[in-house]
Amino acid sequence: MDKLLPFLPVSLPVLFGLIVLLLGVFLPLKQRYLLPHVSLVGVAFVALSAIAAYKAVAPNGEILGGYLILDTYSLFFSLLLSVATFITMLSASFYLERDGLVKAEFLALLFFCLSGMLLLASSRDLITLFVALEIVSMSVYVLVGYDRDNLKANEGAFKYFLLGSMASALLLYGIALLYGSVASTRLYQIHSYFSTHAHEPLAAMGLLLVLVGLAFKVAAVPFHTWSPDAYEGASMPVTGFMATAVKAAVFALLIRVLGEGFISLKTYWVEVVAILAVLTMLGGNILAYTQRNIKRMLAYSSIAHTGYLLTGITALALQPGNEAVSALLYYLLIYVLSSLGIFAALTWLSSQNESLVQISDLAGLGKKYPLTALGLALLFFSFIGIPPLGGFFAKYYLFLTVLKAHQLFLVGVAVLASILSIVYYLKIVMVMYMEPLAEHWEAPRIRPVSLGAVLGCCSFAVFWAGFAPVNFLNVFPGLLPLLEWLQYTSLI
Amino acid sequence: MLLHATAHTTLPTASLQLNSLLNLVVLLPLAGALVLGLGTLYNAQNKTGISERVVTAIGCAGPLLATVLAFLLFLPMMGDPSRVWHSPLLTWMDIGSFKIELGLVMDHLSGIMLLMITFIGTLIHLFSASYMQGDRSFSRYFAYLNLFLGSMLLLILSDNMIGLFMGWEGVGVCSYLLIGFWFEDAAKAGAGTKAFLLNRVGDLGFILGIFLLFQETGAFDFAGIQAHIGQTSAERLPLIAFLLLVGALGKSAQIPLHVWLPDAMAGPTPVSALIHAATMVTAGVYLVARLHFVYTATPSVAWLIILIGGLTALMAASIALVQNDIKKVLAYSTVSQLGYMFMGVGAGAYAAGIFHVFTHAFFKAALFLGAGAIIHALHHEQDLRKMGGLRSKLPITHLAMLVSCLAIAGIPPFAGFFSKDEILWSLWEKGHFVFWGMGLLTAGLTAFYMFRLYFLAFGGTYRGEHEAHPEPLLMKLPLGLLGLGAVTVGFLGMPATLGLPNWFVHWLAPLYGEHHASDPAAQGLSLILMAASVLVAGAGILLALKRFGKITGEVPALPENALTALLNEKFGFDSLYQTAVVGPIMAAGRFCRQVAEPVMIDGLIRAGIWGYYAFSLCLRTLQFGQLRAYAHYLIFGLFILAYVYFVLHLPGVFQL
Repeated sequence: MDKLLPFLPVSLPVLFGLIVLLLGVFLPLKQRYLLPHVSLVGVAFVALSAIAAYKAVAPNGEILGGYLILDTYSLFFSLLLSVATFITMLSASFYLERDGLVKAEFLALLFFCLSGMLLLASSRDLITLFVALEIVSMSVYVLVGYDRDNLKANEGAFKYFLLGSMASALLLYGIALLYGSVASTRLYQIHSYFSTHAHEPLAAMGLLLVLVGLAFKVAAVPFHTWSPDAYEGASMPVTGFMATAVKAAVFALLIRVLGEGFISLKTYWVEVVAILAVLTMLGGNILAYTQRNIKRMLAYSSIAHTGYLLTGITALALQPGNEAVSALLYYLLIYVLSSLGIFAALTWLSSQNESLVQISDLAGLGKKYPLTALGLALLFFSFIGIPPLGGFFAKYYLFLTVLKAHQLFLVGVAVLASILSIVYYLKIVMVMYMEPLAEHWEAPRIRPVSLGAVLGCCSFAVFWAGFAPVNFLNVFPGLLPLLEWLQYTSLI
Repeated sequence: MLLHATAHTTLPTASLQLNSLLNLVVLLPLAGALVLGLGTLYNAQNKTGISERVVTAIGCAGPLLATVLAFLLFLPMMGDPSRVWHSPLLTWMDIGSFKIELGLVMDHLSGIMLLMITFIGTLIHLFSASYMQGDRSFSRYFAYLNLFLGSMLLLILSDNMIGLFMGWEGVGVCSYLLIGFWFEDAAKAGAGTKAFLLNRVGDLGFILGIFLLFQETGAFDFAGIQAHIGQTSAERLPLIAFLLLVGALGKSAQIPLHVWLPDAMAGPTPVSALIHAATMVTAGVYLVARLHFVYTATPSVAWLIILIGGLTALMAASIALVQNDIKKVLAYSTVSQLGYMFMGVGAGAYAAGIFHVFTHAFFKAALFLGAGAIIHALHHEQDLRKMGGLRSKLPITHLAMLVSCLAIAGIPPFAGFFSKDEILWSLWEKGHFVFWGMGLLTAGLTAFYMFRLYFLAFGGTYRGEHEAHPEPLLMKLPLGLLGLGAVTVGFLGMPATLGLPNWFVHWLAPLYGEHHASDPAAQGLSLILMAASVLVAGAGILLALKRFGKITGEVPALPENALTALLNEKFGFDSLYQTAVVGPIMAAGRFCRQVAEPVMIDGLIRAGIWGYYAFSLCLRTLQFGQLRAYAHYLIFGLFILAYVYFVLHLPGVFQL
C-alpha cells in the first residue's frame, strides 16, 4: 500500500471517471441525478489522497527514481486543481440539467482532465509532461464542444483542436531536438547537461519550440488566438474550468520546466519570455476593452493575467531563491479563486438560458441581487488590484520580485497594463450598479445555495487575503518562502 | 522645572495579566451599534419598525454591561495595585521590521478613564431615552451613541498608537454624525462638517506624529515607545511632540482649533453632554497624559501646552460672559475647563490634569443634562433671557445644576474645587506664576458666568411663553447620580500638601510617581492660594447674584462697547478662518470645478481612453475568426521570437 499511495492522486481520478461512466450506463434514469454527488465526493477523495501521498513520501518526495516528485509545489497545485474541478462540477451539474445533456461523460472527462493536471503538477520528465498535457488538452477539446447542437461550441472546439494540435506538434518537435542534444528527457538531466555544456543551436531551437508550445497553452500573445473563440463557445462552467484549472495546471508545468529543467539556460530564454510578457499584458488588456461578450472579455482578461504571471517567470530566472515561485503561486491562487467566484455567479445568472452573454445583460444586478453584485464587484476590484483585497497583494508581491530581478521595464509595463485593466473591469461594476434592469431580462430559473456559497467563499477569501496577508500565506503550502522573504526583505 | 524628578518608567511587565473580558468591554457597545444600525435599516424599509422601547433596551444594555465589567475589572486592581489587565487582539501586519500588533490594556490611567466613561456614558444613554422620545430617528441615534462609546473605549484601552488612532477617528466620525444628527437643517449639518474638518487638521498632525514616532522608536505600542524614547534624536522629538499636540488640540478644542466646539451644540443635548463635555474632548488631555514621557522629555513643547491651555481657558471664559444661549455658555465653559486640564498636564502635573478630567466629567455632564432637561421642559427654548424661575418647576434639575455650578466655580467641598486647585497649585509650585494668575482670573470669570446662567435660568420669575412641564423619571435618575458625583468625587483627590490623603495621585503613582511630601512652608502657602481662589470665585458668584439674582422683567442688555463687541465676535477667529482659509479653498475649489477638472483632467483622460478604444478596435480586426489567419499568427510569432533569440545569443547561425 505504501508503494502505491504516491500514485493514488493521479490514478484515483481515472478510477472515478470510469465509475461515473459505468454508473451513467447502468444506473436507472431516475437515479442519475446522483452522478454529480458521486463525482464531488470523488474529487474530495482525490484531494485527500494528494495530501496523504505527500505525507507518505515526505521529505524527499521523489518517486520512480525522480520521474515524479511530490513536494509542496505539487501539493499546492493538486489542492488548487481539485478545488477548481470541484467547483466546476458543482456549476456544471446545473448547466447540464438545464440543457438536458448527458452527465456521465461530462463528469468523466473532468476526471480524466484532473488526472492529467495532477500529473502535470508532479512530473519531472518532458515526455511524461507531454502525455499529461495531451490528456488535459484532449479532455478540454471535447468539453468545449460538448453541446454538439451548438454551432458556437463546435466552432470553438474545432479551432481549439486544430491550433492545439499544431502547438503540440511544435512542442513535441522541440522535445525531440532537446533529446537529440542532451540524450535525456528528464528535467534534472537537462539541467545538469547545460550547466556543463555550451549552448548549441540544436538545443536552442528545441528550447524555443518548447517555449512556443507552452506559450500557446497558456494563451500568451500572439499565440492566444484560440482562446476567445474557445471561451465563447464553451459553456459557462467549462469556460471557468479553462480559465482556472487548466491555466493553473499549464503554469505548473511552465514554472517547473523553466525553473527546473532550463534554469541553466536562463540567460537565453529570459528575453523571449519578457517579450511574450509585454505583448501578452498589453494585448490582453487592450483587446479586452472593446469586448461586449462577457466570456470573450474574461478570456482577454485571463490573457492579461497570463502576461503578469510571465513577468514573474523572468524573475524566477534572474533572481535566486524560491520567493519568485511563491509569488507566482500566490498570484495564481488569488487569480483562480477570483475567477472561480465570478464563473460560479455567471453560471447561476445564466441558468435560465445562455442569453447572459453580453456585459449589458448584467445591468441592474446591483438592485436585483445586491449580494451577488457585491461579491462580483469585490472580485473584479481584486482583479484590478485595489487594496486591501487579495489581488492587490498578489500583484504587489509579484511585481516586487520582478523589481528585485531588476526588470524595471517589465514592471513599468505591468503597472501601465493594470491601469488599462481598470477601464473594462470597472465598466462591469458600473453596468451592474448604475444601469437599470434590462427589459427583456429573465430571472434565473433556480437559485442554488451552493453557487452562492462558492461566490461568498471566494469573495471572503480574497478579502481575507488582503486584510491579513500574513495569516493567509501561512495557510497554503508552498507559499512559505514568500512569507519568509517578505519578512526579511529591505524593499518594504 | 518642568521635569518630574520622580517620574517612574514603565510598569514591570510581570504585572501584565491576560484578561479577555477587556475585549468584551469594547465589543459590547460596538455590537449594540451594529444591531441598532441594522435595525435602523430595517426601520427605514418597514413602516412599523422596531419600537423605541426595544431600541432603548438594546442601546442601554451594551453600556450598562460594559460598566459592570469595568467595575469587575477595576476592583481586583484596587486590591493589588501592581495588577494591569492586558489582552492582545491580533497581529495586523508583520512585514520585516514593520509590525503592528493590536491589543488592549487596562492600566491605572485607562482604568480610571474606563470607569468614568462607562458610568457617565450609561447615565447619558438613559437620559437620552427620555430626551429623544418620539424622534423620527430614535434607533439611528442610539446606534451612533453606542458606536461612539465603543470607539472611545477603544481609544483609551488600546495599548498602541494604531488602536488609539482608530478609536480617535471613530469618535471623530461619531461626533460628526451626532452634531449633524438633524441633518435636514443645513446649519446643523454645517456644524457637523465644521467639527469634522477642524478635527482633520488635528488628525493630520497626529498621524504624522505617529509615523515619525515610529521612525524614531520603531514601536507603535506605548511600552515600546517609552523604552526607546531615550534613543530618539533631540531635534526630532520636539517636532514629534508638537505634531501629536496638534492632534490633541483639535480633539480637545484648544486655540487655534477650538472653533468647532461651540458650533457642535447643534447636536442633541445629551450628545453635547457625552461627547462635547465628558468624554471625547478629553481625549487630547488623555493623549498628553498617556505620552507623558514624550512631553517630559520636551520642556519647550510642554511649556507651549501650558501657554495654549492658559490662553484658551481665559479666552473661552470671557466669551462665555456674553452668551445668551444656555448651551453656548456651557460649550465655552467646556473649552475653558479643557484649557485648565491642558495647563495641568503641560506643567507635568498629569495626575492633576486627569483628576480635573474626572471631576469635570461629572459636573459638566450634570450641567448639560440639566440644560437638556430645561430645554426639554421649555419646548426647545435655549435662550436664557426667556427662562427664569424654574427652581420650583424643575426641582431635581435645579439641585443638580446648583451643585454642579458650585463645583465648576470651585467652591469647597464640591468636586471642582479640589481638582482645579490641584492644577493651580502645580502651576504655582513649578514657578508658572503668570499662568497661575490666568487660572485664577479664569476661576473668577467662571464663577461669574456660571452663576449668571444659574440665576437667569432658576432665579427671578419665568419670562418665557411656553408652559414648562416637569422632568420625567428617566431624566431625574441620571441627573441625581451625576449631581451626587459633583458633590463627592472631589474627595478622591484631597490636597496632599495639607497632609490629606490624595487617593487619585496615589492611584496614578505607577505612571507618574508620587510627588512631594508635605512640608510646613508649602502647607501654609497652599492654604493661602486656596483661600485666594475661593475668594475670587466667591466674588464672581456675588457679582452674578447682584446683577442677575432677582430679575423679574426684561434681562438688561449688555453695554455696547469695544470689549463686548470683541467678545461677541469671539475674538474674530471664525471670521479670520473664513477669509484666510475657507475663502481661498472655496476659490480653488471653484477653479478646479470649472476649469481644472473638465478641461485639464477630464479632457486628458478622455483623449487617453479614446485612443485606447481606437487602438483596441484596430487590434480587434486582426482577430476576425479565420482559422488560417490564427495559424499564421502562430507561425509568425515563432519566427519573430526565433529571430530575436538567435540574433541575441547565437549570431553565428546567420553567418553560416
